[in-house]
Amino acid sequence: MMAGASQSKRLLVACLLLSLGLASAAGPTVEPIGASDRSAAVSLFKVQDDGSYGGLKETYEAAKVFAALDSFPADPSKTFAYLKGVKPGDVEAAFYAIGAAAALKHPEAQMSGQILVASEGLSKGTTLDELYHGAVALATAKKAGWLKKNSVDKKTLQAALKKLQAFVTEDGSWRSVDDDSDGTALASGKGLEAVAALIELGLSTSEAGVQEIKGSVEKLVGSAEASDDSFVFFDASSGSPLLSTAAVAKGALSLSAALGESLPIVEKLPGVAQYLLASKSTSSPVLLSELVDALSIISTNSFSVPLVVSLAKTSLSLKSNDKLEVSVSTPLGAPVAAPVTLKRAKRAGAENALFTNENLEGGAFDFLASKPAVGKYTLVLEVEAPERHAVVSPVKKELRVLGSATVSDVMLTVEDDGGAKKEHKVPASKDSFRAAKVSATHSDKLGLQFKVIGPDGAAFAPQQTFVRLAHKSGVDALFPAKGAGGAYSFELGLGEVRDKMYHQSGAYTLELILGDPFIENSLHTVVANLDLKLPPAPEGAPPPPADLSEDVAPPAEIAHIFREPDKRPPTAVSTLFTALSLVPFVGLLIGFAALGVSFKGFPSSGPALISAVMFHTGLAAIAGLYVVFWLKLNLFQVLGALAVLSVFTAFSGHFILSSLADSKVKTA
Amino acid sequence: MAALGKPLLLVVLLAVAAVHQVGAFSEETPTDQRILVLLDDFGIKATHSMYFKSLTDRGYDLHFKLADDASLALQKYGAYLYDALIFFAPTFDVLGGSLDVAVILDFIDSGHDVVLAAEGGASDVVRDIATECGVDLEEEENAVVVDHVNHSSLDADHTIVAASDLIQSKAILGPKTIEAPVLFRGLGMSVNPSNELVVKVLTAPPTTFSSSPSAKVAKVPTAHGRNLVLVAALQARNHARVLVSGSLDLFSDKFFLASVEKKTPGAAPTNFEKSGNEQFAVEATKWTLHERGHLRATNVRHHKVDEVAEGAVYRIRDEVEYSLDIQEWDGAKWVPYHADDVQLQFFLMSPYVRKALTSNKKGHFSTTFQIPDVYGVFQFKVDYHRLGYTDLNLAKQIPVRPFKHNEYERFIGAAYPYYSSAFSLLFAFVIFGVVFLYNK
Repeated sequence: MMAGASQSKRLLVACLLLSLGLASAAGPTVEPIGASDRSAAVSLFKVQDDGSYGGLKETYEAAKVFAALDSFPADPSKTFAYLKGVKPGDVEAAFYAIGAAAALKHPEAQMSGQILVASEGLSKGTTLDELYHGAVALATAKKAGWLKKNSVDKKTLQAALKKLQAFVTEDGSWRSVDDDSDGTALASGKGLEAVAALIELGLSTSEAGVQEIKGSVEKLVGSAEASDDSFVFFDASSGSPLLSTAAVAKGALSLSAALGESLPIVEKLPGVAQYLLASKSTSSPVLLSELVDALSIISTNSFSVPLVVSLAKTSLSLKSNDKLEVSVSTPLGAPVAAPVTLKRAKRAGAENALFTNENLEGGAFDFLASKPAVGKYTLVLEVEAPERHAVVSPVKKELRVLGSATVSDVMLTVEDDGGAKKEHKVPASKDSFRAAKVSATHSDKLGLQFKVIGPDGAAFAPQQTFVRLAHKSGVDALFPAKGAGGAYSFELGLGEVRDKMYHQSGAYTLELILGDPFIENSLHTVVANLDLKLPPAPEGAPPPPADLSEDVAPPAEIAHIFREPDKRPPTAVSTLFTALSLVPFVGLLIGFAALGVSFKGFPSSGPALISAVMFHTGLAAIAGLYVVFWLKLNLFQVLGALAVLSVFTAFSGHFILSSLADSKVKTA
Repeated sequence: MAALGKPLLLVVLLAVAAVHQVGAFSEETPTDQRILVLLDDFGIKATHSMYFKSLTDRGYDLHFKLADDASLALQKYGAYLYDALIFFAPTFDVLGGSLDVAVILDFIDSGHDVVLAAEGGASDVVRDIATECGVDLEEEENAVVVDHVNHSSLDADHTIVAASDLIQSKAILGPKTIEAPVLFRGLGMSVNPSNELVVKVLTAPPTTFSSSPSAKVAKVPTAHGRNLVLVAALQARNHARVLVSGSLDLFSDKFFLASVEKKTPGAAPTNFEKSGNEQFAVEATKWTLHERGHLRATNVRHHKVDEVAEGAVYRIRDEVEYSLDIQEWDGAKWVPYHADDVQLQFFLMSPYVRKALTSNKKGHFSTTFQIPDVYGVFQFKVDYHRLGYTDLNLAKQIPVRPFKHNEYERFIGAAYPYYSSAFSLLFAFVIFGVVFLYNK
């Protein structure tokens, strides 16, 4: 468990360095609160219509930040009115109301209601938070002159101290409730601040409790953790180390001030200030107000103010006349006059130091006077701290010297398979190139030569010298340009890149990319517009990859093609043939009429007559049924009707036909 | 005993139901609210406060935990405790509690969303999760993305790339175009182009390469330019979404507020007071948490054009109307979806008809078409796959029959000669019969 915790802390430091560090080797940049931080901090708080900053707690945080940075809003009258109107509630609200009013230097607030709540909280409070809020609120009110004399009696203070003592654990840290739980740094800071407040309210410093607590500070400060970069912070394992560290610094320093003697925290202040500044965040109101509040207490303490050494510019351009400017200030950014010596300045990779033991007069030094080579320099600065100030010395700082490179003699060659070479000069001036226009085929060889000259006029090798061949479809390939002594060349057989370019012919660009961390005019430019004719893709070659980052169009619509109806003859033809088909029928009728058919054989009486009528009616009905079938009926209806009609016709037909046969036999 | 058992069972059922309230995004309970945020250290809460605030402002319940917290668990009694995971802990090699790569992958497999951020020196845990999501993080030691042309002035090593090659998808990045470049510091990634579930959300400029910032670059690194992916997104087949960023700083307040310069070859650079990071991070996270691009189809109906009731079977050549409602989840409710590229397919082995559905701009899509003269068991199919949107795959079977024998045309002009000859023969037979039998 212990091993795990310490591992996690080490990791935490590593993360901190990673997440905070913009610079790499020299660790996170530590700079005092500057103008940009101020404006970011002030713009973080926006006053609402009711004069608050979104709530009582937020108003308190805003007021603390304004007071610490000494940049108050132009017209705080609305906020004053808001604070005056805050109804007394619990002790925490009283703490915020009094704290905000005092920080904003409220001209007329008496806060008597809130003070009453605060003193009640101090006398009846049972948790660390209640006692802390009560004591600090009352001390703040006393400082603002709002507290009537002797309004807090000695007994209350002594009782409060006794209650506070119960929160101190054996290792010097404090817990927030009176039980057996482990202490935290955040609670310790609050506890120490509460004790300091009690002393300011009139508690005698000779009390045994006070002395005991004073003794515990050493243990608490001893539990501080430190990283390689001389950062000092508290309690990374529980909660935010930034809040914990700010709280401990605030509490221990307040106690030092109240006691009038230097407590062990004072020696740790440079590291604490470094840590707080390295992890400063101007986006969270809570963190910002705690941070700025702690930094302001650190910057104004009367024992030892830690100094922050920063460079006005961390990179100098050879084009400019910039000087190396070193400023020494308090964490809050107030300049402090302190002599600075440049002990050593050495470029990474160089054998000898460029400068040794140079005095920086007025903090400035003409670093570029000797036209140093571009690169990263490590500066070792020695700062002599004036009295009652402390500094981690010597300080290591990183300085970059930047310059610009020039590209010249850019030559594009196209060599065909016979060895004939065509040369195209690419006129270059500073950063702009007039791109050559070239056409080539797959059997050609493309070449590019150029020279790179560094800021000092000598050959220069940038970190990145790439040549890019790009098709308009977005397919591209990168090649390194190889070179020595500043002269670079690049050669490419266009046949070799066919596969990479997916056999696409057409417009290509040949681009040059030159880049280096120490070159200001890194370059990405088109040197040639190529018209390449590549042979078509062989069968089975993969097509250019579809770009999945763009939406594909929906597939094409499909309309069904219906079977075409059969061709039909014109109506006239059909009508003619209909008429023709009726001709035999008509002929039959005419024939019968011509023959003079008679119906003398038709039975005249008896059952034969009935059956003859029925038989022929039946036959006619069946014929009629077929006509109706055609006109409207379906097969099943027809079959039903046909079943009835056929039985009826069959019987009657059998009867009449047999009677006709009989009569024929008789007559014969 | 039985009397005692029943209430007990009820209690258990109720408890199970209560636990199941916390699930992945589902159409029944589409609110995706509880998010576990895993951090390397609590300082990230402060340095990335604007990002977290954007989430809490939208009503999410964030639970911050250190990634090595011994009490970490995603599940309790078989039910998930969180709807989504924000993994901002790129350095821990071993996760605390019951968490490991497999558990996080199961979380995704059960439909939950993850935002994953890496940075230079990312742990194997982050790499393994990313790999399983189809994204390969740069493996070269000390390598980070470097760009000497398109970079931010925040870092002198040129490791903060100002990238502006964004995915063209309003679903993923929101309706407003992101004008300013997005700042990125961290690991480059590559995605397999044949993996259609992973898309490149942010791609590096052509001048970027992946290398150790101080090393000399003798050969072109494999990861460079446009095949260097900075942020990728996965939408799994179960609609779980994973956003993988090679940079944790991309989400930081510092980058949100940084000013940036956009360079275009051959033109003067444009200055932006604020980088595109905030808009990018917030919008991409909205997509990841299903606040955009999640579609559902309801009210799917079809009927003959002049009828109201849904047919059980249609005849060839019928005019049929097909309609459905499509809605999109906007984070709080279902809103009508509008598009003109939703297509209906009438499908039998292959599509016979493919037709765009017209939208009435209130989420109702419909079209009419004539059923082809082919019979068989067809399907009404709507397969809607659009970048950034969840897929809609609707299929409904419908048999199509040929004409009945009495549904064919009866009075064909060209056939009148046949009709007339048949009937004349018929009647001639009747008359002939009479004449034959009775003539004397």
